[in-house]
Amino acid sequence: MLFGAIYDFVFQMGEVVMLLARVLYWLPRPPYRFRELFKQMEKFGVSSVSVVFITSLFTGMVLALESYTGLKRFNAQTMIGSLVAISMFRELGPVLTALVVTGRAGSAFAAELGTMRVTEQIDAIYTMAVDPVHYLVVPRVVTGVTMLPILTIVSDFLGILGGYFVSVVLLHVNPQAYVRQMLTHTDLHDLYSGLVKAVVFGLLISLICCYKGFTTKGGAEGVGRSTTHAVVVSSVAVFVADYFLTAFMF
Amino acid sequence: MEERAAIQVINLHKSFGSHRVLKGVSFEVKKGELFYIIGKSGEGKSVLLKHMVGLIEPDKGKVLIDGVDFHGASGAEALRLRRKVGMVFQYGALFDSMTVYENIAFPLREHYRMGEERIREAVREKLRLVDLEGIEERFPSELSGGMRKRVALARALALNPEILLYDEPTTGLDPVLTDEIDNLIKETQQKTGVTSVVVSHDIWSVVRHADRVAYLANGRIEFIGTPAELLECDNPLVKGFICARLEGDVVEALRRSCSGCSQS
Repeated sequence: MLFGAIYDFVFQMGEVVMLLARVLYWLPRPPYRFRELFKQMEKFGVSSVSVVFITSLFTGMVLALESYTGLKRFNAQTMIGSLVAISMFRELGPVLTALVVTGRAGSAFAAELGTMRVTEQIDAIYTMAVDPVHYLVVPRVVTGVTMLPILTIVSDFLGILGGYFVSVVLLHVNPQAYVRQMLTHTDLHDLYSGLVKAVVFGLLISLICCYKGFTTKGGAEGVGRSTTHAVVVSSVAVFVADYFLTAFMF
Repeated sequence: MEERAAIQVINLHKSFGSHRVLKGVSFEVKKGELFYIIGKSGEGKSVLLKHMVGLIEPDKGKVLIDGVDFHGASGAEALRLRRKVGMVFQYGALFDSMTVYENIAFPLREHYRMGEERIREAVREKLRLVDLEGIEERFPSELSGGMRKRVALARALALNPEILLYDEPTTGLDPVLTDEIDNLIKETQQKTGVTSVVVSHDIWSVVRHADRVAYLANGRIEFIGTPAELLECDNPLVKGFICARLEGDVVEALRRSCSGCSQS
């Protein structure tokens, strides 16, 4: 049972890598479908931004609240700012955004492509002498790789804003000290490392969700199944990749 | 000199797991003819058809389009071959995120650098060919089953294919609509001269319209010939298929509606 599950996982990861190879093959080749790309980017951003907004804001707020309790014991409340900023930049911004995006945009990729598969629309694209990977997967992967870092920056900023609000407005931490501490203890490397993570997560999520959609079988039930799988596998992949990226980059 | 066949299927084998669907299928379709493939459900008719458009790779055997091996070709050659063969799917397979206009324009936009005006003209022309006009801005979900099939046909015609494959075009339609679609297939073949291969299990469509017909059973072609020959055929499998659900006098009626039969 467990052995079978591991076999399936390794097999599917192999297929995802093959899909990546096909995406890379088609990526530089014309025609460049900018209309399709912008449509995907718009859908991707619009569907996720409000959820990213709320989750990040509250995460920043709760981070400030929790760390206040601990840091107060050392009389180091002004450190809250740097703690929130570093956590958001390096870890929570990219990971939270990736999870939100998996739930919103990733599931939509899987469901949409899955429906197209079971209603033979993907076959139809093929018979019109257009490569379905080129037409459907390339724009979605490019969208994932570019939009996730952008949403991550939004998330970072809102987390810091939430932290500032709780610390300064609710807990009356000195605002000048708060900001000064934050600026001295964080540097651009924190931001960049988070964005590198976001790029990798974007690639993983879009590839896995497109793969799941592409390989859907069995009608409406199959679409539901592959959408669920897409979300579960993508989320797990994000956590696993997060550890290894952190281990390599720091 | 005999003209080269539009499609040659040579000794095609295909298995899914341990299930052997095609066990050595061979036949030819001549240029410009209306060719039917009939057989019971689940005998691999659609699988056979999908080999002819490259959607399925054979385990063994070849499909030649205009003398060129479909599955051996790659790159630009494969693309050129795929453009020669159009396919009308069972449920239309229209892009439901696009309007009728965008659906038919899709292959044009992908393959030609055409101005919007010329695309509009081409779309209108294809829609006229299938007797539909003024529905460009509607979405597929707003169309009836018959209209959707017509749009699917118009889209398949957009690249001016030399060969058109129809996957069960009349399955699940009511008798009136079945007739309508059958006539449309015939008209399209006559108007455009396109070589047409139709997968069906409707014996009436076959006797009325087919130039030639092949009967697929147990993974092999059990019969190939004109509809008249089909009705006279002594093969028990073929007879069983034709006579299922039919009384003797209805078989007579079939013979009468088939122009090639002797009307004694």
